[in-house]
Amino acid sequence: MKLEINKEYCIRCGLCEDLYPDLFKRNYEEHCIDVLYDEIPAELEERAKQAAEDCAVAMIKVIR
Amino acid sequence: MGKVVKVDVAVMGSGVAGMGAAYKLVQAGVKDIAVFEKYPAQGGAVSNCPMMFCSTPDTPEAQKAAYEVLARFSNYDGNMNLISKVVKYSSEFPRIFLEELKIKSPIQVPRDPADYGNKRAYTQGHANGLDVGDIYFLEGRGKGHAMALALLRLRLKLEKEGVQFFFQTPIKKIVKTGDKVTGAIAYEKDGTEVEIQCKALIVASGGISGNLEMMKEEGVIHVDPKFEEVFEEGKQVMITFPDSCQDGDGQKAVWEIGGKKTAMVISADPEVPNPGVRIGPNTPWLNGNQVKVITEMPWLRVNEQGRRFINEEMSNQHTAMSRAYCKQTNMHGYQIFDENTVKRMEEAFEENYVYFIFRGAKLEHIREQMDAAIAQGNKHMCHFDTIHEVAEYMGIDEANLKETIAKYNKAAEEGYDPDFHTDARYIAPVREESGHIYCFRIFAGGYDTMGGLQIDENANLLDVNNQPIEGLYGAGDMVTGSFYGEPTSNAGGTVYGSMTTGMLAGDSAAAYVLENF
Repeated sequence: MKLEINKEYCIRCGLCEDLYPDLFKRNYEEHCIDVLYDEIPAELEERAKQAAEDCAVAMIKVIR
Repeated sequence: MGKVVKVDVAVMGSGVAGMGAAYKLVQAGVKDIAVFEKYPAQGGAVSNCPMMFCSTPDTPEAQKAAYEVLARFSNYDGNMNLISKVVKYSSEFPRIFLEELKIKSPIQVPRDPADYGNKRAYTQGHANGLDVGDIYFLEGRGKGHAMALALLRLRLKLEKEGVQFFFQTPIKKIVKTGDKVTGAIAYEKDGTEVEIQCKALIVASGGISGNLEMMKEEGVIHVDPKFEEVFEEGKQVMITFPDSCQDGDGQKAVWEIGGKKTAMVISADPEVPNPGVRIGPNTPWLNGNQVKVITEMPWLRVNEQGRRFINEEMSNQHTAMSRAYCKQTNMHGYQIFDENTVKRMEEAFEENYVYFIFRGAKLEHIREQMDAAIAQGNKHMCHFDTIHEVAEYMGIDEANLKETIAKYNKAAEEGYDPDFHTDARYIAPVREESGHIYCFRIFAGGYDTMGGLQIDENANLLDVNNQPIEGLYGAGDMVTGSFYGEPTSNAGGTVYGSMTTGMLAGDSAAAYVLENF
């Protein structure tokens, strides 16, 4: 499972980093939010799905 | 080789104000519109807008009542005609946000115009706003904030209408031909110059909270260097919401061509700095613990000199409280309470006390929460057995503090506070005999900075002689002083102030372009 952030429309509010610091980190150089894993570890999959649900603007996608 | 972008109207900034402007430009029939944004994403400071807005209904009674509250609030220093227009534009919010942008509003609080100005808290879609209309609570997506979703939908709508968005392309210079503004210069990420040719330019680039140096130079922050760290990213809740890119480009560009310079202040939200106070660096509306609830409580406040400075009942009124902190040494104050007050907070929430957003929150494990934040490295809270230890740790003048506490405790006993007229119900004596003394250091935080530029009743930016600069308009946080009064109140820009001035700038620029070209 992968997480993809649509950088064109992500508003960078950082909600994902605050709620799921184990999955996301703000990138101050590129002014965007990075997903910490290319492949989401099995134990974080549930949290990854929840993170996609919590995104303010629905720009985090779960890709199987 | 530079690029050339030729449009009818260019907008600097894609936050609440800039988007409001673009919305009105499209509505008015302006064909070529381009929005230039420094950041790679749209939204400006919208991440700090809570999930609500305030709208004054379009009835003569409501419009007049709201006008009067705002006029009084500005001490009749704001532009009265501008205030009327701001109030009027706010009446369009329910149609725009609920109908056009399909944002859900599960709770609406209609207000009687006769009561405007009396209620603290919420209002204007912002904790610090004034009570000047009906309140609409919005439902966002997940744990996100609805206003951000609204702005994204507005962008998608405007893109469909042909509005162009240029991200990571900050405008740095305004070009004048004779007395008229005829363009601007922006730069792409790789340094490529973009020459913007336009008939009108709307400057809506927000505050300067991303530029700590400029905040110091302009006197927005005046604190001892030992406290500077609290204004850095992620420390002081909301002051520099991380990575904001709100660096004062708009103010500087307008000043450079002779624009009038007005005072700038931090907008208001008294905060105990991180770590451990909110859950992360980004989301001010999600708290890590109950510090925010406690600092909404009306317990004793003193400054570094150990003196009281305000009726503590104003603790739930961010504008008043933050403004008061701004006037104290190092722009902060201290909340002090004892073990009996901790028990009081843990046993029941205060009856008849209006909270900001934590109405009815019951407090738990106050000391443990404090210890957890301290363990994370927070230096802005403490608890000790004695007032001496608290004063020493926090750097408060001990002799004065003891004298203040003696007087405050006496006011509690007598049920009368001759100095600040705090309601006797909310005077919580501070006694070592209770077993323990607690203290928070609270700074005048803010969502952004307000002010820097002035507009007239048409949102035309003014020059140093108070004359409108032809073809140049302003909106949002940077012009709030024009209706909240100068120096701009730190009432917060708010959707009520920013969206409306954006809409006005859009309408005025559209009229100017359609009539003159």
